[in-house]
Amino acid sequence: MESMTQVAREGARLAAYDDDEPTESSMMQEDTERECARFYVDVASAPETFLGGMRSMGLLRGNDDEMHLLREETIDYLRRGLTIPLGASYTSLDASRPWLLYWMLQALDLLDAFPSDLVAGVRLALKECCAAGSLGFGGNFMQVGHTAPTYAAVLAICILDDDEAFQLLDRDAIYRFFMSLKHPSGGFRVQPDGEIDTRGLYTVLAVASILNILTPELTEGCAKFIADCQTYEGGIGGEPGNEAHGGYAFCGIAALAILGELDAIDLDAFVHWIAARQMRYEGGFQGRTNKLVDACYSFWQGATPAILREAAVRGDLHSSIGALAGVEGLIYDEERMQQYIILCCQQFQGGLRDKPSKRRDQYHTCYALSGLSVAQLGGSKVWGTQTNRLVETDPVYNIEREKLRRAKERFADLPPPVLSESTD
Amino acid sequence: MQQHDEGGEDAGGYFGGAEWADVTPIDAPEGDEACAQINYTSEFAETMGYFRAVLRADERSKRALALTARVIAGNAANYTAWFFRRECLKALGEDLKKELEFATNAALRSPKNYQIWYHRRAVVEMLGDGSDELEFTEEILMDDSKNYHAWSHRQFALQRFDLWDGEIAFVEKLLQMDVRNNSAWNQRWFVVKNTTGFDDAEIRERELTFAWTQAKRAPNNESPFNYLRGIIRLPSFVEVSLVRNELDGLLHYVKASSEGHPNKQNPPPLLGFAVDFYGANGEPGLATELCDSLAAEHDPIRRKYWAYRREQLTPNAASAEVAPVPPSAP
Repeated sequence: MESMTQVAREGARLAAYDDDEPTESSMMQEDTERECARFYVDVASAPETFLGGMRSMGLLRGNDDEMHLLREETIDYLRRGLTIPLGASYTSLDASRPWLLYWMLQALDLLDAFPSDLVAGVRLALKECCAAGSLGFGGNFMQVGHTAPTYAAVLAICILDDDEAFQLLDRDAIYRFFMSLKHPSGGFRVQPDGEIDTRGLYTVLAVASILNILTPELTEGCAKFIADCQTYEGGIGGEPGNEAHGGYAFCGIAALAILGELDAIDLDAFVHWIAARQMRYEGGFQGRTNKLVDACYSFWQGATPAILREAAVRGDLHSSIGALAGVEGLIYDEERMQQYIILCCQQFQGGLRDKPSKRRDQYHTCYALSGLSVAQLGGSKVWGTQTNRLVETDPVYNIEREKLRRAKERFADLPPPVLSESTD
Repeated sequence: MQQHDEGGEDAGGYFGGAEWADVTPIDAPEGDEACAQINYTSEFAETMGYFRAVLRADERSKRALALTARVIAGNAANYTAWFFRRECLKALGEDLKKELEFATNAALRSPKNYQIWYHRRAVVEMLGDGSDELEFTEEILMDDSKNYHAWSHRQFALQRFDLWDGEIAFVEKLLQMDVRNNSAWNQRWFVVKNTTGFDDAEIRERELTFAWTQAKRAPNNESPFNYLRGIIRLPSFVEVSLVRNELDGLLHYVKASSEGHPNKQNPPPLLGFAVDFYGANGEPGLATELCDSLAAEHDPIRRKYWAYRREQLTPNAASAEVAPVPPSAP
């Protein structure tokens, strides 16, 4: 692997150039590069003050010149989020409690710090989020069912890998809920009276494929909906016509992978778009063309090359795009991406952030680590000290591979779902 | 942040008076061992308790409507409150124009929130009137020119109410302000696609010329090149010589420019577009040469991508061979 001494960016050579035509976008880009430049310094020639700073943050330890992931600090940050009531500023996430649970559990799982002592507490919290009639999960106590918290809750249950938690899931009721959200466009509403977008479609398919309720009626028109959301840039938007965007691109590609229909979109155009989203200076990903780097896209953008690579290696893609199987690793620079996460996005108290000027939160901690896990390619491409290695996540579902396998196994032999409420 | 838009507050607090005396709030489980709890303010917790009670009673009343505003002021992402608010509006036959004002104020407070924008769309649908939507989204976009929800809502309104007339001019105004605003470029494509389409040669020529003009202003700006790439991928694209002239001209122009920033003479978005254009139009040799220089020198972070593109452009290479990966950039 590239040694620390090569990390220093040859600033001017790599930074974006504004063609002497500065605009708001290029000025914000310059500010962001400057924020990151502080962390991209040659260890070999760095002044002692810089090294001292890195040591006091725990990024450098002893005489070692390899950078460290702040494991213990981050585990502590996440565990406190689960066990000690969050401050009132978290009220804006009151309707996203299954998400909070999933973000913290997934991040802990990646750090090989699954909180086995908190299984009952997580299970109870999820139980409080069950929607009336078991029609999926809501954002919190007595909220109506919605596909996004349902997705987060099901993933959290898979991570718990706990019999009692799985009993919170009523396959037939969830199937009825999803079918009631199906829209003629092929997409799904996120709630009975809610928006129809790529996110709604992915969250439904991810849950349905785990629970083995992925019927032809449910998947009808899904691939076409996603194809309609692919833009002239090659990426995927939230609704037909919307700008290509990292979050929706992930949802679209992951959904197609679940359907086994990746060829439904123009993959050559997609691969061009995704490769272009890695920032030439910062090394992390942006969500859209000419927007700023953000650590969460390390997963949203960084996972799709892994999904495509796995399909190419299996021989599932047509010949032109199949060449992806011959690329060494992923179609982006995994080392630079890892450097962005470890150098620019760690807060010394633990937890990870969007970019140096932002503060840590559970969402960015989860997706920065998830992106890091994908980029490490099962441990074969770990940047920094080898103990930075994370547990391997599945790029389609974003839970540990083994947890996914075990969850799917539970439902594999169950009969097809029953749509009618009057049971046999 | 605990303001509310409807209903007054007296000395006994919002729920202290006779209006709410008949309602028993439903408190959320608290103090149990459940994970990920939040320390709500007592005001928020009380509001939520009453909200759950009216929700359970399915009480679609004036006071319930006012209560949803209070819940939303505490957490605008509470989709259940928005959902129930719409139920109340429908049941009470409320003035939807007034509701649009409520949605406007909410969006101005938190412009990046799914629920507010969906609510607005739903209300506009119920009204069957989208006449305020272009002005409103423009107001939001003037503050945050890439707001995804605002663009998405604008697209909905344009399409639903057939408001296309001034939209190309609006896009050009935004690109005049920031030629790197990719959302505006996307909007341009959306407008052309949904009005004239790209099948007419005159339209394609107009769009190609527009994009080249913008590309020349700042050849390191990826947006116009993505737009051009979109056009050359169209099945109807035939303007090969127009594009070749523009491309050769701009490549020549940047190469001849004085030394300065290294991307000045070799803008990666321009070179990358040239790879796709030459590759698809009978000059794979030129394209593969560019792939090599992008990988080695001008766009090293994408060296694996350019090596892969090179492989795609060299069909005679033994397909079983593993694509060569050039060493790290010097």
